Amino acid sequence: MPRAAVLTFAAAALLSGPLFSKQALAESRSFVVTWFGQAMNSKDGDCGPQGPNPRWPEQRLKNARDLGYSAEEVERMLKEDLAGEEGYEAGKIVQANVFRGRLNGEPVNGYLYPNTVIDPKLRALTGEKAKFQYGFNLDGKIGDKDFEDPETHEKGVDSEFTRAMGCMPTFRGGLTPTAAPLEYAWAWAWKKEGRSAWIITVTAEDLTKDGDATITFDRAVERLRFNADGTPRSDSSYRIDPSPKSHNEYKARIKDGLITLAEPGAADFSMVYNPEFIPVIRMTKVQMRMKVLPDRTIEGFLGGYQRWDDLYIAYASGGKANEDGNAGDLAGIYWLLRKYADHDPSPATGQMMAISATWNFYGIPAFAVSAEPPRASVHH
Amino acid sequence: MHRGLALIAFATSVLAAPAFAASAQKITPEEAAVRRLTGEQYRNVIRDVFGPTIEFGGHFEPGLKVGGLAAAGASSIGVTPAVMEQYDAIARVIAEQVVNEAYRDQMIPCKPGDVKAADDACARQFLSGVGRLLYRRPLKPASLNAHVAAAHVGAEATRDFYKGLGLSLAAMLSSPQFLFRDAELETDPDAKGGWRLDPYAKGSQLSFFLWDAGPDLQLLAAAEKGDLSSQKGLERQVDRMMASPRLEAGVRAFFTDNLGFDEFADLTKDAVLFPKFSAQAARDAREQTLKTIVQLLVKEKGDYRDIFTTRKTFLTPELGAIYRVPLVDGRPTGTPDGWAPYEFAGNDKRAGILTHMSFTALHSPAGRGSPTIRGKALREVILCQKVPPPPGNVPFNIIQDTGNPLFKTARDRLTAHRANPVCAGCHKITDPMGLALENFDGAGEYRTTENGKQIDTSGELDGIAFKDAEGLGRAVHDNPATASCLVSRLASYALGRLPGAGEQAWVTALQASFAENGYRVPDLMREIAVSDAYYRRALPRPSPAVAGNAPLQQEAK
Repeated sequence: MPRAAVLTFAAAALLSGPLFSKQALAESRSFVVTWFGQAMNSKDGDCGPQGPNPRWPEQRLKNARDLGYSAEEVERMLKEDLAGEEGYEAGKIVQANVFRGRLNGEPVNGYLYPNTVIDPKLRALTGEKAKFQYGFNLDGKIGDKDFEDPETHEKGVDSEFTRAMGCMPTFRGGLTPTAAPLEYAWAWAWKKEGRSAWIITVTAEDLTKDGDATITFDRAVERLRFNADGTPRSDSSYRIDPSPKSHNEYKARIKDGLITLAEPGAADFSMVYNPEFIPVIRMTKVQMRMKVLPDRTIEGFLGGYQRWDDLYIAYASGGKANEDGNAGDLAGIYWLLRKYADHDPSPATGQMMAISATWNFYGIPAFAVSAEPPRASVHH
Repeated sequence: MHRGLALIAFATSVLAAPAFAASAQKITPEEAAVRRLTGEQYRNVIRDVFGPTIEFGGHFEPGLKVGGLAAAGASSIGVTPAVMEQYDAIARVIAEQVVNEAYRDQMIPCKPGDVKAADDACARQFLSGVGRLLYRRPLKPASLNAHVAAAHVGAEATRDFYKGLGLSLAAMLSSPQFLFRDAELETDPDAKGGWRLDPYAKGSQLSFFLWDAGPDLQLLAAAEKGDLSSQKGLERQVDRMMASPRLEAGVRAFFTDNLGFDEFADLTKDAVLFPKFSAQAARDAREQTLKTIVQLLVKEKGDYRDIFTTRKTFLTPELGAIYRVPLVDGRPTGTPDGWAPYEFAGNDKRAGILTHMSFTALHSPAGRGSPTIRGKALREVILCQKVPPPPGNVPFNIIQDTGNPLFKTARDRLTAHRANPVCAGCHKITDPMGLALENFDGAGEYRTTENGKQIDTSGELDGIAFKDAEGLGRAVHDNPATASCLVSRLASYALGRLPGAGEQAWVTALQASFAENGYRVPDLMREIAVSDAYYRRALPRPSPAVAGNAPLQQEAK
């Protein structure tokens, strides 16, 4: 189709009414997601008397000792590594950590085979001071160890992903992008321009009144657009990728300005996220809540059971670099996720394959227009 | 004016020319004067002669504005040593590309016998050909000989024919005959004792007016054959040029000058207050308005006054975000934004070019909007009404303090400011129009409140009240000064100076026919282009310096 025709088509599609709703609803507003990360609510003392887990440089020395080196040997290796011509990164301590897995007694790459690494038994959120965490009661039960949402005060909140990662130093933080955990802030800052934007569209008869609505999560063809000062640009237009891989549509309800799913826990969520970080966010039994703020922006939470191996692979794919720079003890994270996984038992082993998770997001006003499926262009 | 250039200006060649049609108006022409090429005209001539890929390697000095038009200052501006150095540098960059081994076969119609030696015949062939296009008339034998000699000396000194040719070409590009549009005169057979532009100067005036570029080969041939000396021949060429797509460039050039769009080059905004503003947005805003104007006036042959009310425009995704309208194009991610036609809805506050970012952002300071500056621009640019500058001792602190809780909106601040009687007089003629545009902030983005207070966009123009920007556009559309101002400014643009007192009758007649013809700008351009008043000139009076030198010259003889 000629470009002019595509433009006309796109504009007409938008102006003719809601794109995704099957209902005859009158008002449709779209938002481009300007932040998506793990919802954390770290507080002093929430990791118990010993505090958060050690930062990676210290943990690395501990791991060496756990591998069988004596304290004196570790000290000597460290001195030699620091003084060595090849530099610390190529030194014995670091290399011992990379190959800290043991398979039939032989060292193997600990990132590729984390189950061959001795569980470092890293600490997770515990106790009364960790009680308030964002999320949803996914299983409908209120257990002794379940969290309470600090905003809604819903009890029985299932967010074991938060528990598992809550004492990793680089995963601690709050909600807003400036307070967010380093791991996600880093990933967002570095990768935001390299991935397609996410678009949320809410459609209802009157978005300012209580009633039924439809909410969609889609992936755009375009990247997030930015202002001259680096902040995300509002009111930009994005084409919706027609691929069903990243299309999620839910019946929703608006009540006192809060938008929630009409049938919480009844649907799944799947969005291609960032090929260089977490390739896909996929959850089952999804719940969501979202508010449109007076300044036309949105904030919200998304919860569900997330495949924890997706998460581990995302963190570990950077290997030593990500372990050193951001995430910390990757094999330790593997054991934490595995331990706190709370859903979807493997028929073969009984190991839980999913973990209850809560993500938070922010968005700004945008325009969503439909797009044709991508086609290869051929020059004649 | 530089004395040497003045001499060129009134150098005359008396040709026997066919009689012109008699002018309907009593015209007392102004003195002939040369006009310096604008930067864009320089670029257009070079691209026409050597191709669109030529690089210029420098910036051109901004023009001198007279009556708000750089074109009208073109006959008053000279060349300083620093500007001459810049012209010289650009000329060398161009010449080097023309004689470069990679392009010379396309640019130069002959090959030298020996590339390490001079070849006068080949140099003459090349220089006479490009010289005719660059000087917009055939080179006089002495001039051509001088350029061939320069190429010869250059080739011998460098032992390279092409380097020598490049040096001569660079000299040609730095010469007054290229940098200035000449005004060579001939006697006017229709006006006893009168003078008019000779056919080549006439051709130049035509092509720079209609195309913003030098004459093409057909126009030069028409000049050479004397066709431009007859009304019929002139009209034939004008109609050919009016039918060309290049007319768009001429219309764009006029409106770029008329609307002061050269000021976009220096336009900046506070990135904290106006984060969506960017260099790209500024470029797009300028282009948006020019595209809108060309579409309405040239392609649709519409009523000029409709540019103040039309909801039809063109947008890029960059502008779409600022105007808060959905717009994407089908290009791959990472490629520059494309343009798409767009029509604002009937209930949208944006209607007409006064609501474009090119007006609201251009006529605003870096950190806020300004009803006064916008109103002043509207009075001066659109209605040709002079607004006096503010007295030197006027305090602006109330206007600039946009955070003052007592004066939340610009209307509040201006009302307080006008309490000073020294200020009230001028603000009365600017603010009621500018306040109608207050729905658009300093970077042109729509808003309904300022500091939490609802914005009142009511206003009035010359007794016509309106409630918002759309109403302002209609008032401007219907104001008689709007159309007459356009005619005055287009006449100034075409002449390269403000019309003289003796030419006012001609301007008045143009204004009348502009209205009679439905305010069609191309028709107005044609009428100017075929009017003999457009080409009549008086001989320049010798300057006192020249007069004083006369006895010495005689003594020297």
